[in-house]
Parts: sequence; C-alpha cells; structure tokens
Amino acid sequence: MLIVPAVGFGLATAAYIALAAVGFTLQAGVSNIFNFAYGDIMITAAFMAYAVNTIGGGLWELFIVGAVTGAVVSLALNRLIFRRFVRHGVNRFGMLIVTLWTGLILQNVLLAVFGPRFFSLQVSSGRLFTFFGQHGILLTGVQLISIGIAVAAVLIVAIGLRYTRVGMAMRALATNPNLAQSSGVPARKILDYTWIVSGIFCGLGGVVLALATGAFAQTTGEEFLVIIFAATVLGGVGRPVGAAVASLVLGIVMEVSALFIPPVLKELAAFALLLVVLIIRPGGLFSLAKEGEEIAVV
Amino acid sequence: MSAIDLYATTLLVYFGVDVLAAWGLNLQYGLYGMYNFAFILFQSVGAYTAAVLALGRPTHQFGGQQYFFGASLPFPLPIIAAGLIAGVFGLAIALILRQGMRSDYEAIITFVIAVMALVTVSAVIPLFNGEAGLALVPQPLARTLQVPTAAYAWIYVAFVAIVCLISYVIIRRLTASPLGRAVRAVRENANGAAALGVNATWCRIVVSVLGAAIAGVSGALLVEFIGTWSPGSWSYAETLVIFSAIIVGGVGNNIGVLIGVFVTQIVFAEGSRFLPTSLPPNLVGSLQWIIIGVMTLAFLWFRPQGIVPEKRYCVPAGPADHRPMPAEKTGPAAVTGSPLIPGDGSHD
Amino acid sequence: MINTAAAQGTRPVLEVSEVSLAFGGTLAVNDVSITVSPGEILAIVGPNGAGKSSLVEIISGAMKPAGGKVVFNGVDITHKPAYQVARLGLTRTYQLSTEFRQMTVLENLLVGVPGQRGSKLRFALAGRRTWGQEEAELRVKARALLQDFGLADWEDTYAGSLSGGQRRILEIARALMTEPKLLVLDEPTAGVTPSIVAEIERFVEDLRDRGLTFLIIEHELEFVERQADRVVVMAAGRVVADGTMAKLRLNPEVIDAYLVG
Repeated sequence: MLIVPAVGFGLATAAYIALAAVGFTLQAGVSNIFNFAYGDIMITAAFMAYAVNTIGGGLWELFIVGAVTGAVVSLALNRLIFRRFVRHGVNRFGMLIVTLWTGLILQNVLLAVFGPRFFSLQVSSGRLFTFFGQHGILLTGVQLISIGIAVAAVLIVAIGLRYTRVGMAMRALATNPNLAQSSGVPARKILDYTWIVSGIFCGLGGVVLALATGAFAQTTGEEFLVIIFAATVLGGVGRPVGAAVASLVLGIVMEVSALFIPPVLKELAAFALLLVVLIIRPGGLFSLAKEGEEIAVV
Repeated sequence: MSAIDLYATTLLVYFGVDVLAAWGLNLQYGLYGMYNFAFILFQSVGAYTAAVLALGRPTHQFGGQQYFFGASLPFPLPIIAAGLIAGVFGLAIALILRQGMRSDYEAIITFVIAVMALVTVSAVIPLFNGEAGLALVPQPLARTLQVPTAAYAWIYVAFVAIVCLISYVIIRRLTASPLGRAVRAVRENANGAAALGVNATWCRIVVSVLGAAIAGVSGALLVEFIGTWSPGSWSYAETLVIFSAIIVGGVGNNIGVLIGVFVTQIVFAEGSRFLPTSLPPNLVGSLQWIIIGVMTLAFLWFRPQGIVPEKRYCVPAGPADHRPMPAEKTGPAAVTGSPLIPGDGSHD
Repeated sequence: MINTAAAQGTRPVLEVSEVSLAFGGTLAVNDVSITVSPGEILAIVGPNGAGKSSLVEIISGAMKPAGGKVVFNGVDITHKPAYQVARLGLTRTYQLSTEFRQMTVLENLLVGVPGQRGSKLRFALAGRRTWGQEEAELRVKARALLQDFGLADWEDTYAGSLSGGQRRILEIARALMTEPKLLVLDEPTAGVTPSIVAEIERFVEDLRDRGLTFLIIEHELEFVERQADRVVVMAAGRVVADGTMAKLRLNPEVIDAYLVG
C-alpha cells in the first residue's frame, strides 16, 4: 500500500507547482502575455538563493532572497523589455519570441556566471513527520514549511483578489482591459503590482523547486515550464485558485503514477492531459482570459 | 583529410542542412502563418529514420546501441524514407492545429509536444538509444565510391547543394503559384479566403507536409554525414534558432532566410574567433547564445521585416494588356510588411 | 434581359427552413425560415442582436445550426464547411471587410478562383507552364472587373492601403470573381460615406439586371427601401415579418420591433 506515501510526495510536489502556477496564471491573466521566461526567472531566484546559501544563509534567508529576486527580475524584465515591445506594436507571437529569448539569455547569463554543472541548496531537511501511522504520509520539516508557504500564498492571493482594491483592479484588467482602463483603473501601476506579486511567487517557487529536486541546473526552470502550463491551463488561465487545485491534482497524479510507470515518464501523463485540454478547450476549463484579444497595451 | 577540408566541408554541410530546415519552417510560418515550436522534431524524425535505416538491424548485444527497428537500405532510400516519415508527422501537426487557434496556444501546444518527444526519446532507451543517441551511422556510398575522405566530403557537399537547389525550385514553384497565393490569403484573412472558396485545411496540410518533408530530408543529410544523432541536437532551443534566422533574414523570403541562416551560423561557427582566447569554453558557448538572442530582439525592434523583406508577388502585364504600370498610391493605413507587426490592427 | 425567374422556373435559390442556433444559453436564431427567389434582392433587417449576423453565419457555412436545414439550389448545405458553400456559388461579404491587406488589389481578386489549375498541387509543383495560360485569362477578367468597379488605377496597390470605402468595393468585386449565383452582403453600407453607398447601390442594381440574386443584411432602412424587392424583419432571433416594404410599414409588430429594439 504505497499509495498513501505517494500522496504525501504528491503534496510536496504540489507545493512548488502551486507556488509557480499561481504566480504564472495571475500574470498571464492580467497582462495577457504568456511569459516563457517564467521558468528561467524561477531558476534565477534559485541561483541567488544558492549564492546566499554558500555564504551561510539558512532556510528563511533563502526564501526571502528568492522572493525578492523573483519580484525584482520580473518587474525589471517587464519594464525594460516586455512592455516596451508590446507598446512598439509587436503582436502576440512576437511577444512569445521575445519572452522565449529573454529566458534563454537569462539562462546563458547564469551559465556564464555559475558554470555548467549541477547545484544544490545545503539546508537540513529537518525532522521527519509522519501522518496516519508508519505507512502513512511522510514529510520532512522543509517539505511541510514549503506546503505551508504554498497554502498561505494561495490564500493571500484568493483573498487579495476578492477583497482588496488592487485585487479587484487586477481582475478588472484581466476580464476587460479596455473597459477597466476607461473606468479609471491605473493600468500601469496595477500591472506593475501584478508582476511584483507573481514575481514573488515565481521566486519562492524557484527556491522550493531547488529544495525539492535536490540538484538543479540552469535548464531546470525551462523544463519545469510545461508543468506550470499544465496547472495553469487545467485550472483556467487567470484563476489562481483553479491553478492551485490543478497543482494539487497534478502533483498527486504524477507521484502516484510513478508507482506504476517508470518515474521519468510520470510527467508525460501530465503533459498528455494538458495537450488534450489545449486542443479541445484552449482557454482551460474555467477561464478568464479572452480568446484572440489584443494584448493590453499600457 | 586536412583540417581545412574537414572544417570547410562540415561547415558547408551544416549550412546547407540549416538552410533546408529554415526553408521548411518558412513555408509553414512565413507563407501560411503556422506557429510551430515543434518544428525541430521534423528534422529529428528524418535523422532518426535515416539512421536506423542505414545502421542495419539492432544487434541486441550487451552494450550495443538499442533501437526499435533497423534495416540496411542502400542510398538514397534512407533519405527518401526520412522525407516521407517526416511528412507524415507534418500531416499530424496540421491536423492537430485547428483552424483559427490563437497564435500563442499553437505555440504552447507545439512546445509541449516538443518537450514530450524529448522526454520520451531520452527516457525510453529501446526506442533510439536514449540520451546517448545513435552513432556509427555509415556514410552513404562511402565504400562503393572508393575515394579518399577529403574527396568524399566535397562530393557530399555538392550533393547537399543539389538537394538545396531542388528544394528551392519546388518551394519557389509552390509559392509563386495560385496555390501559394491561396495559402497567403488564408494567412492574411482566413474568413475572407473561405468566403471565396479556398480550402484552408488543405493549404495548411500542404505547407505542413512539404515543410516537414524538407526538414526531414535535412536531418537525414546531416546524420549520414556526421554519423551521430542524439537528443542534445534537437531541443526546443533549436527551433528558436531557426525562427531567429528567419526573423533576421526576412520572413517569407527564401533568399532572406538563407542570409539569416548564414548570419546566425556565423555567430556559432566563427563567434569564438573574435572573443579573447582566455575565456573558458563554456562561457564562449553562452555568449554565442546571448549574442543571437540580443540580435533577434534587436531585429524585432528595429527591423522586423528582416534583412530582405518579403517580396511583392508582381503580377506581370500579359501580352494583351497595353497598360502602363501606375505609380503606387499609399493610403493612411501603412503596411509594415511583416507578420510579426500588425499594420493597422492585428490580424491575429 | 433574360427573365431569370421564368428561365429557372420558380425554384428558390435559397431555402432556409426552421434553423436555430443556441449561443450561451439563449437562442440567437430561433426557428427561422426564409426563401430567396432567383433574381430578387431580399433584405434582412432588424435591430442589433436580432440574430441577422448569426443567420448569415449559418447560411454561409461558418456555423452549424442546432436544428433546421439550408438548401441552396437544391443542394443541402446545412453541414457543409464555408469554403464548399462558396464553391457551390454562394459567396458572402463581411461587415468588417476581409480584404487581404498585404496582397495587391489584383491579387485579391485572383484568389477568388480557387478552382483554377494553378491551385491544384500537382500543377503548382509542375511549374508556371502548366497554369500560366489560365492565369493570364483570369487576369484579363479581373482587370475588367476592376475597371467596372473603378479600381483599375489601384490594381498594384496593397489592399491595406485603400480607404475604407474602397476596401468595401474591393470585397464585392472580389466576390464576383467567384461567379456566384447568390451574393450575400453583410451590412454593406456600414461605416462608409454616402457617395460609396450610392456606388454600391448602382453595382447591386447593375448586377441584378444581369441575373444575380442578392441577400442583403442591412441596418440602414433607406438603402433597403431603394434596393430591396422583399424584406424580412428579424427581432430577438425570430422572423417578425416578411413582405414588401410597403406592406411592412403597416405592420404593427414591425413598428414595435424597431421602436423597442
């Protein structure tokens, strides 16, 4: 009966998928750009955490550094590159190329600075906690903290979107950018906030990813991108709670399927599901993003 | 074979192969407007097909290469088969990407397919020997020709050049024909084209299959020359480089694309020459990618139509027409001439 | 002029029977039936949201109805894709004109012959020698059309550079290249100047005299009054009235629909 521990692993996996996906779906929903550099920003945060780690940083310092890196890099990339290209008139596909290459450039800068090998964060995993008995769910202290952060993040976003002014403005921009702007929503500022918030989750997700996978490299972020897409699309583009639920499902499905098929292929199950949904209902199951709309030019 | 011969012939073969692949993508993206991020898979399918059809049956020895099927077909069958099989994959992609899909969803779908293929082939070793890939692929006619290696290499270069020429003629004929015009019409406005009776699905299938087949042949040509092929050669970044070559050279324009391939290849091949030799090798590799990335972004910003913009398909005056060509009149809505920048409103 | 009605018998060109289309919970088109006779100009009018555009989408094959049938010259086209419907002789224009912006005016017209030799793959690959002759003949025809429509001087211009009115006319000229038996015009006067409207009216009358049948969706009642033989009024997805303009003016339901809608 290995299913129960597998579910436990699934929860840990779901933690970093959810952190990353919530940030991604928020940003994609509000700015209507699919940021293909997202995975690389995640891994940049992981590398910054690594740097702090080598000079003695502990778990909490790593999280903070990761979050800040994610926010700063996301905001900088949007302001310096993405937003400028959108205002320059580049269409949706052109933005794709822009974000893809930005991510690839970022990867290569990291390669140049840190070199081509595998890295890991030296942090003690903490005590092992068991739930539901000896053959139940086993989670380390770090994993529990990660799950805790993920849950907190989802709650903050969900509540924030519903009850704060900034959150409502974000939702307005996501549903109908033109109407929102003409109703007085300060689009540029709100977009900045969106990139900052999604950047924080991106960075946190990167650190948790690094902690969870043990060894990471500059390409780890790009490889992770497809899973982020899966959680985003399955949960509905622009719906953070949906993304969180989808992350949970994906995490558990992947870990449980690893019991039956070669572990390396467990991601394929997720990818295949994503593909089917994309082909049949590209907007995802419950989507805020409009099909075929112009990118919000702000 | 001297070092110069080795270097020159390898460079030229790679150039020819890259140009073929770029022309194939240009058919799909430039002529039709398909956003296919799995394009490199066509080249890969062609390479693997040609490889297993030239390697012979898998020996199932311990430590030997594993692949799921093999044969020892004589030249040029592996290459032809490569084109055909790649064409089938092209058909599959054409059918998966329904009409009217948003461009970034097309890109995401194909991106996911590309990653799935990479993960599968790398992990499932009995397919194509996994991460290690296939090696020792024999060069075609090497033994029958009985020429020294240098001469063989140059003959191969000539062969690649001939294939390029034939492909160019085929593509030009298609593009300049009324069918090519119909494809461009679908790209411009699918609704308008359908209202005139143009079958958009057929147009999509034609460019997809033809583009894929040409890419498949390019993969076969490459693998039969260098003898190896592994997942490292076909990550999604490779498709991105081809897109960059097209953007830099000129979307929709095959001569422009050729120039674009030349420019991007120069950076990869010769870029290291201009950088200080004291730099560690991995740094050089990263710098080359960064240069290409920055160059692509620069072109997207300053000159999105590329070095050589898409040419106007002039309809010449026929013998019965005795009309002078009027001067061009331009209206308020400027046309930027590039599918990447919308003119007076996105066609996306 | 040949009296087309007599020549073709009285079989209608288009028969729409009880079509319906659901859209997000409501019926955009609700049990609509209309017929178009040869050589007539039928107008469909109605307030915004009446379902006129949805009906055109169904007729032209862009959308499949939930129920009902569409028969064109005896052929059931209900489930045929748009391009096949066009090849059978039913050509439509769009409210937002669909010219091919990065192609010249002449090229725009030449797309309108999808059945030509050069459009077949084997001839395209075989080279210009196999399709050049037919293409030359089509060019002559296209130039003649451009001459009729006053666009001859603009033959070599990118369609995207034309003014709004010119693009509307281009779309009609282009539609004629397909040699349609029924031309469906979707709000042809929307967003164009009165002088262009007058030109379009002239073209329509001219073409009708030459035997072409028209189905025109229109908002502009005066245009309809001048041009249409018969008018169908739609509101909220249903056909409210059907008859000549004079008759409709006396119909209280029609007045209601227009005042309310």
